[in-house]
Amino acid sequence: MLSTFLTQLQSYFSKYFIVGSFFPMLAFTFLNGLIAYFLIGRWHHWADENILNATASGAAFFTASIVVAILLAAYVLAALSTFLRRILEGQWSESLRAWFVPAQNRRREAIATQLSAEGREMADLRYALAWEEKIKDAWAEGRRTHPTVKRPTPDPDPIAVALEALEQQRDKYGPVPAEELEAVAGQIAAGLETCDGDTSLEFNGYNVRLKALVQYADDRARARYARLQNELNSNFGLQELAPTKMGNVANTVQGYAIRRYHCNLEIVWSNLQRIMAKDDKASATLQEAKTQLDFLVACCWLSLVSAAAWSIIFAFFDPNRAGFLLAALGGPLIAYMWYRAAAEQYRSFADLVMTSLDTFRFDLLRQMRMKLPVDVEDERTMWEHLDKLTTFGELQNFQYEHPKQ
Amino acid sequence: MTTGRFLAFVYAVAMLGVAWFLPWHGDASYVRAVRYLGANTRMARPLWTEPRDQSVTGRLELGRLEDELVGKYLRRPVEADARLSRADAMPWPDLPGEEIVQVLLDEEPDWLMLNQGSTVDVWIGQKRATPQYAVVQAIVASGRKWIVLLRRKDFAADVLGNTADKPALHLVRLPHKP
Repeated sequence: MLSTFLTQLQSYFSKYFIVGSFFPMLAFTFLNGLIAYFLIGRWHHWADENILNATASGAAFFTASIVVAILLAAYVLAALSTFLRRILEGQWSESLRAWFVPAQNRRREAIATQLSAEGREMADLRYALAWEEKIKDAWAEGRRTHPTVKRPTPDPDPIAVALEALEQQRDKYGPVPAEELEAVAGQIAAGLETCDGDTSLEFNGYNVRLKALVQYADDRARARYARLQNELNSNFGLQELAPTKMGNVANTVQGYAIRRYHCNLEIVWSNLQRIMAKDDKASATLQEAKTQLDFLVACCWLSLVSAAAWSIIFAFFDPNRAGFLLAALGGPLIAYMWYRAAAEQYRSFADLVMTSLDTFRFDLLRQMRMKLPVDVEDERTMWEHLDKLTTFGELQNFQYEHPKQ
Repeated sequence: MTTGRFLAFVYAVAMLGVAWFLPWHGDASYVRAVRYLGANTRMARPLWTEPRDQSVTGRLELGRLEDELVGKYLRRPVEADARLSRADAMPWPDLPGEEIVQVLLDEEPDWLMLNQGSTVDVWIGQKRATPQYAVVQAIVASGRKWIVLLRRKDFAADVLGNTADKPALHLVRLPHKP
């Protein structure tokens, strides 16, 4: 019966509406109805009389009425989805934004600081060749000034101790700072100057270990730098900070378009969607990602509304401390989990939008009768000029390239 | 602490504050008396009915209330079909300071019929001890036995000295509203 109903429903409404709005509304209505069935005696009695123990026609009438009500509520939810998503993105009044933006800024600064530290580390590690040179020179100097003199090995050997400490850090995938590596290189060079390195065989081992550590530190810094850069790019745009995590993820799309092409995506987004619609697969993939996002946003809001309703019931109509605490504290917690899931899904959606821009931007230019750019710089200039023309109305002359008849 | 965390903390504290004023379990739960019940009636399950359309938590709470009421004594008279709650119960009967006579029962009585307010007739051996009948003041437990408390003045003056025979109690009239 349900599958028949869903099939019929699909012929009237798009599958995106069904998944993004109808299913969340259906699930939350069912869940709340089920909870109410066990908690509210009058509802329990009514449901028993009119649905569960009713005649077939009576049950069908009430079930159909409830489904129609859910359908209408889902339609309202779908109509409100953009508004509800924008609230989660932090499109609030300026005074309210000012309360939350500093936290997002601290989050961005934390990543930026780590990124900068890893960048410095990478730069410092470029001096590793100079350290090697220094060791080579010291080796030659020692051989020349102290031929056949073997280094008296101290116990414990400070070079071995320092190398071991750094190797322990490496084993834990911990940081091996360039300045400590440089200090060890200095110790090795100083030791070599006082003896003949060819007879003091431990220096061969020290050199190999130091090189391995330098390689590790360089690989780690590069990997972390790339990860942090990706984290920064996938969490924050280039424009003004939004007061919420989701808002900043949303900004990454525009940030990417500006960083990569100097293109103001907002002014071409509608045209780009029209171009994408011609490619069924790309269009469907983007729509599905958007539907999943709508689903999660709907679940977040429905959790909040349910929690508010149950809090009021447990506070005023059926006073119950445990029930109230569960609804008032547990409900928002669940809504927050939906929100976090939605923010992650937004990242996938943003990735798809960025890919769409990469793929369809030339089709878009063709559609706009623009001459295709010859290189990256030309393309950036073209998008910049287009932005100035569209956003600010500045006179920017383009030569149109009409398709040949 | 970020603004979001601060607001979440304030919200949680506010909700805990609201919860402080709410009962852990519904103190509002009640049962209804099946008949008029006088003060000092020993309470037992046959003396009340449960309200219908109870939720799951309501039913759990009702079970807890009934467990608490059983074995306690009614603090005030309650009309038939009136509500009975925790506030109406007390752990021991509140009897006036007058002489009483106790009559032992071997078995637990039918609380609906024999309880505070029941009119009884007491026989000691072949002799009727209560010329004008007696009204049960309260029934209390004593180990596994039950003691019916009656007013001394309802008994004939010369019957209580003879302790060889065990008093026998006969129900004459059910408890009723005075």
